[in-house]
Amino acid sequence: MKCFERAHLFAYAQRMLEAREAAEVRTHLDACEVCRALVGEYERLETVLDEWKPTEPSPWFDARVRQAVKAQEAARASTAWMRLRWGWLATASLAVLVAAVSLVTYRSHRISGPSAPARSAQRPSSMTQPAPQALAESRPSIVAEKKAAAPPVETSKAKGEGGPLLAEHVAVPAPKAANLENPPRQALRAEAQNEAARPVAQSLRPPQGLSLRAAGRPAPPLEGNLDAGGRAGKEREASAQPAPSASGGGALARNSAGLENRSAVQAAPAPAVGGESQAMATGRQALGGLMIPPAARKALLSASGQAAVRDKDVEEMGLYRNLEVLKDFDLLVDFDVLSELPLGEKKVAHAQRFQSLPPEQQERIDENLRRWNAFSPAQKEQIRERQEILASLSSAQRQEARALFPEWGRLEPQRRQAVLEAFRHLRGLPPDQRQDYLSSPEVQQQFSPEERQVLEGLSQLLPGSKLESESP
Amino acid sequence: MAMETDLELMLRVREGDAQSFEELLRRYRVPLVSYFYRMLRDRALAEDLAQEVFLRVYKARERYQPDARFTTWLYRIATNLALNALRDRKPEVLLGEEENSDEERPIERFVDPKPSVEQQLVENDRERLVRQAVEALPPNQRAAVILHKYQEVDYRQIAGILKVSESAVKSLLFRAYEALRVRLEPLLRGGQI
Repeated sequence: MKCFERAHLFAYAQRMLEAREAAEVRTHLDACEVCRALVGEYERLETVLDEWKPTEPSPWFDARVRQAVKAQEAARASTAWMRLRWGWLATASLAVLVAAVSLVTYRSHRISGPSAPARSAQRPSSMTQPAPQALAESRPSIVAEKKAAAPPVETSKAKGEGGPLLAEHVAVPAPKAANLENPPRQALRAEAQNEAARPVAQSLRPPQGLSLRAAGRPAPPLEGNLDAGGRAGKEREASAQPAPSASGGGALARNSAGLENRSAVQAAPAPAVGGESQAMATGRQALGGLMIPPAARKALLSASGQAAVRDKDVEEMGLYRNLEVLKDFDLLVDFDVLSELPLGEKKVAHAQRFQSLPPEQQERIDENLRRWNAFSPAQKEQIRERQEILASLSSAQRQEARALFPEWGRLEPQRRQAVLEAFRHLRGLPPDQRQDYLSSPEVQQQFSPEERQVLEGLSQLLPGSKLESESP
Repeated sequence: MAMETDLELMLRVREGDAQSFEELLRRYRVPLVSYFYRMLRDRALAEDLAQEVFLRVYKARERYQPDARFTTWLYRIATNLALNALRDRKPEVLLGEEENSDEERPIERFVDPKPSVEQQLVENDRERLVRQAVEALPPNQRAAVILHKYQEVDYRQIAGILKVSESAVKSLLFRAYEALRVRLEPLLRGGQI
């Protein structure tokens, strides 16, 4: 009697065989004790394997999944919004062009005599004079007009506390400026009083000129507020607030002052602000939220201390370092869950990889965990937002942004403004012309080597840059 | 009302129905976490990867095409993640963590005044033997056994998940079960350990 192969007997035990084949095996088994014993072992093996029971997920597993999905949705919405905004750019640019033409036409009919050339002479081109001076000279008339229509602004206070960049762009109206800036800073001051969170709170505070945006608060419709990020415009739209008009909403008009100034000076004698055309106002409104491209905003945001804290400290957790599938943002979500549960530290302490770390590293991680737990929900949200932004950049851009930020912080506020002005111009150029602009005599004359370095670094954060093409 | 199939739920997720996603989460949270835990024996990692699977399902919802069973798709994602994680692991982690894991201390875990303590300890040791035997299998065999035995996925689906032929799956399973049969012989003969 010839026995079946083991594989065939296994297939029989597993009910993989056709009926006819199974009948043949059954007949054989009746007569063969060895094969019957083997099939018996295969069948008992099934029962033995059943002794390995399934594992229940932890109680917070579902919440984690929901949170990850929510984060994914938010990131997606943000991306869609970015695309939409860039789509508007062409429209807005057209509007500005129309506005400029209208302005020239208007002035040719209305403004005559020596006053126009006189004003023109008083307003040198921003391309031939340092931008801060050009801005300083161009703003008073605008501000004067705004003051007539809007509440006064405590510019000095804004400059002193909110940073010069913010002050420049949040000049009017004052109540909004205060709302936009003060609450997050107050929150940070409160945070700074928390001993456990102090170091991180300090690092969360960006260098001069950058403000933190309170979570859930509508972001200001300001180009200069680098914290606004992609969501700012979205929130503004969602809140259905009318865009500030040229006469009442000084912020937008103010923010586009540099552009207006440059365009007007280059195209025609300086405009009479009071006689601004409707088309110009429309163009400025449309451009108001678009002045700093999302990539640059993202980069500058991500370059703030928060991102650095998270990268350095949280990644040191090393718990899932080898898992490429888990992006930083997921880790943050995970962290958040940990912080919400008192068992968070316990969980970390029990993680095998954590246990394998050197004691000093474990201690540092524990400390970071305590800091994270000390953050308010709003601060955690801010950190997550920045982490999300950071994740969207290429690794090279991230590196560039981090290297750039200290340089940026060292610049004088007015020089930052000048660099930003040049950056805006740079952004409007095709990628292949940017280097020419950076090497141009006007840039060489207007900016110091340090400033040019910052400008070049910023240019690498623009869409189409060499660094952007590197994989995120 | 008849329970909706996974496919129906997924199609509704594709249309933006959050409740259907919740239902899929409810149905597959334990199977997926268990699958990863059996593949990797790391509870935290198992949860993280299971979460990643759900996230990927959600991300891909609009591209989902019902040309295969939902579980085939789900476990294909999960298996890829698990095999990648195994590949990324250092050998010493796999071999050296046995004694350090808090989950590998049945005596501590089951210290309990109840009369059945001894029996519970024995049963847990049996479970540990099973686990060790499965974990000693090569990754592909391990995946095939866990999918077949514990996730109740048929071998045709396993072929789709592992991207091999059905006969290759049968061969994988046979070799795996042979190895298990040898390693678990004391248990198969009914003896205590």
